[in-house]
Amino acid sequence: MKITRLFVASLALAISLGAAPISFDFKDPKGVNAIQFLLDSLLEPISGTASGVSGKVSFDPEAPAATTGNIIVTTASLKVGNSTMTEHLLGDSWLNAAANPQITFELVKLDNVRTADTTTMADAIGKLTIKGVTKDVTVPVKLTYLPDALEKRTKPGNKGDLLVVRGESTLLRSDYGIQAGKNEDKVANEIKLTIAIVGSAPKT
Amino acid sequence: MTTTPSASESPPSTSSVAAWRVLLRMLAGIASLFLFAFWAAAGANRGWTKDQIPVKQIDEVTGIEFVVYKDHFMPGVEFLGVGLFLCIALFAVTFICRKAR
Repeated sequence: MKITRLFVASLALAISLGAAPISFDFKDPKGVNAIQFLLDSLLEPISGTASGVSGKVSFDPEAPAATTGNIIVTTASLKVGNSTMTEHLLGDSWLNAAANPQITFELVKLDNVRTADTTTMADAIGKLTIKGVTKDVTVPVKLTYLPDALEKRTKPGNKGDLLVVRGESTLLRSDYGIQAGKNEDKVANEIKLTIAIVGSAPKT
Repeated sequence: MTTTPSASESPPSTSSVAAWRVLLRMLAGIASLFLFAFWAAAGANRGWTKDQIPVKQIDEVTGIEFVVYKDHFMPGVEFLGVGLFLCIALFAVTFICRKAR
């Protein structure tokens, strides 16, 4: 009887451990993580990347809807192909990177979740803060859970899982007080974002 | 009967000023040609000038496409425009100087 109880208790513990959410760190050691932005301008669309991505996401492969976490982007990591334009972008009149060193996205919940195999499609509902202004946003995302794939990206023996997050969204710079109502004939108000980031969860 | 003017009687400055004028015009012409050739050879970029160009790469495991910036000067149309404007200004100066004299 004792053995049976012990077995049941062990099984319950194993199941509960197996079902525990995994914490993924989005500070990628390979420097792949970036959010690309695109906005139309007078001569050609201005494209750039924000590479200073970090943050943690708690993801349960058995219950993707319970995903929570935050993604942080270092404002100073935003870059376009022209260094003078980059200076303007980070300067006082645009993002004011000195006073607003981070752009953050706080994931509140995943809605409209559809999971097939290791891929989850959902609407990420959360709070996006840019230049000190916080807005509620909904971003359609695709989460791909890659169990035991960390070793392939890093070094042999480095066991762990990966979580790839992809998404696309559009925001208006005027909503975040970035040159609101100004220079819209030269630089569009609408900014298209393409997110493709990976988080890792080493197994100890 | 004709007389040949002596060296002291000939106008001293006219020919030298004309030579400088021609030289400046040639310089403006050569500079504009060089500028256009440089812009065309660098890729005839009809967008803004870039000093770093994005190079796309793919992470094999995750399939994530990411961008790495490489230092590379690519003149744009504003570079060409400003350069050609300066060449035209240099060319125009020679006429202004003549009128002033």
